[in-house]
Amino acid sequence: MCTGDASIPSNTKTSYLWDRTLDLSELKKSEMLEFEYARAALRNGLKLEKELGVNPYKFGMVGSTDSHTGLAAVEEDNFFGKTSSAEPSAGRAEHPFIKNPAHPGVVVMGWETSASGYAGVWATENTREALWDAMQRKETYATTGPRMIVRFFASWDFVATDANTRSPAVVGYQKGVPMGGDLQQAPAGKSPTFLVAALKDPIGANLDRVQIIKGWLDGKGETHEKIYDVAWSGDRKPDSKTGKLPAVGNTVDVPNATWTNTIGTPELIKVWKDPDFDAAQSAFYYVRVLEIPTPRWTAYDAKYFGIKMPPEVTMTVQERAYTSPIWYTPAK
Amino acid sequence: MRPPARKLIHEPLFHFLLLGAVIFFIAGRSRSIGGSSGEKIVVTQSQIETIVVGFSRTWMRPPTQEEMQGLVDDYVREEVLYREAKAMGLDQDDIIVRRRMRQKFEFLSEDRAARSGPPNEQELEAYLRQYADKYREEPRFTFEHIFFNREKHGKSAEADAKAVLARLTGKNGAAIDLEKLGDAFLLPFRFEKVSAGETARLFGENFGKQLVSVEAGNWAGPLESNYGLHLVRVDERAPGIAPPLANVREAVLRDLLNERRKQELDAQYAKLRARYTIVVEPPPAPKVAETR
Repeated sequence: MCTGDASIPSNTKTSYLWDRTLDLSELKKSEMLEFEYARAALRNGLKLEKELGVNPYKFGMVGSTDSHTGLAAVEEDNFFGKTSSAEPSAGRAEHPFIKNPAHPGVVVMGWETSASGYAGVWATENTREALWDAMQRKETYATTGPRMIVRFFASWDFVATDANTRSPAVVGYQKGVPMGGDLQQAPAGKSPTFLVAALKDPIGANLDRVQIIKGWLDGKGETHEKIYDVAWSGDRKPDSKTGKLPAVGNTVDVPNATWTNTIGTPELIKVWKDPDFDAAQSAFYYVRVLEIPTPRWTAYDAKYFGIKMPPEVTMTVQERAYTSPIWYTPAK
Repeated sequence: MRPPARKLIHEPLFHFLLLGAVIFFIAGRSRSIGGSSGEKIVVTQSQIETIVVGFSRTWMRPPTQEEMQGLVDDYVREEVLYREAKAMGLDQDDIIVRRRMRQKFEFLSEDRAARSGPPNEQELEAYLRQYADKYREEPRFTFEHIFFNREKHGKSAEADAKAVLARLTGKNGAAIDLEKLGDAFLLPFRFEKVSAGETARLFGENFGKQLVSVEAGNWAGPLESNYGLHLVRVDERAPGIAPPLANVREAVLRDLLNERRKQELDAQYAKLRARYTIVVEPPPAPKVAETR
């Protein structure tokens, strides 16, 4: 999976933002989208599993740069561009990054490229063998740039207090399977429980929330997805009607390209139980961790070069992490 | 007004071109394109051997008959073109050729440096003493900590941490189960011999600085990190020491050999340079457009 451009600006009113074909021959049509995104592929995997007997889309998540510069300069405040022709300069945001002369209306502008990302790997030691083994078992996660620490375990037996132990990973491995793993044979009447924990980048922004994204296959062979807010900073309450958690707020000072860690929290830990579990339906669960809003590289550029960005340019971003999923497969 | 033909005869450019044409004609007759004809190219057995070795190293097997023929043909082709190119002077004033010649010359000098044999123990010791700072090890800490999440404790975070500290440093402090203290935390609670730099990278620079001044043996704090508050107990602090030769022998040997290599190159250059009279012309005067 290519997650080179996985960092999604917090301004999402232009939701088609990244949806253009690679050769820029057209804007993507909605029927194309199910083949474009990792989550859609995970859903299709469940569908194909029913058909083929095996899930061909059981992949793990890693983040990468997709840069062609040989540099690991992927932070918002040191973004060196995707290619040597798009290195820092006053004009790089407004310069087309790629365009197709045959289709002048479909352009990827410089400001639309994203500064990302890193691959997190839970290995038993820092050796090639151990890292390789960890990737083989998909015990990995992706971030869009920050060095967050993310844990994710599934079990039939987690209890709320497991999130209060001093070292949550110990109980995680004892009772459950880690990210990239499988849950099988649901004990009668039990729903899967998940232990999720995230620690912010020591020099980065605080955390806004942890979400679990569930995808499942219903009895008719149709797939669905749902996003659950699992843990969050402060004493926010989900809206009683929509169930939506209010936004964390925004401390970004765009002209000065700064923010403060006065909102959010350094760490989030929670045990969560799937409230809608059906033991007959195959499903996947993965974690998404959101940071509080921070300045995007365009804001750092504007300040450094003393330039004004066009109004459509996104200037803030909520950096995030994604874990490999944990799959539940009903007994045959 | 002279007629145009006579005017041409007096034109210096015409003289120049005429002279050039004559030289070109003579040179062209004496040598077709450049190399003299009738020269012999011999592909020696040792050259063939070199070709085979080169091929085998890449492909992990000797070349087949057909491949061998292709390699020899290519060698001959290269030799022909090389000789012709050299005869035309194409190696002159070529920055890549110049660089390569310099490099080859320096390799010869380096060989000379290597011939003086590996440095002995005393020389290594002396080098280590001279550049002790370069090999100095970072201070390392072995410490345990208890985390207090400011978001969970709110305004009382400091007071809560201090209360726990008071219990730990009190009469039965040693008997308290640390597992039940403080908040959950994703990093380990005990760090063994972790360097000052690594500590700063994990907890933030500020925390690393404070840790240096914590007295070893007792619980202390709270220290502020980039995550929140921590009570810490430093069990062992290894100061930044100058290591004995045995611990850094490989690095010292490498650095000393490199230094000798550089000295040899410089000495050789100084000797060679002395043979030349070097004249550096003053830089060209600035162009008119640039002067005001």
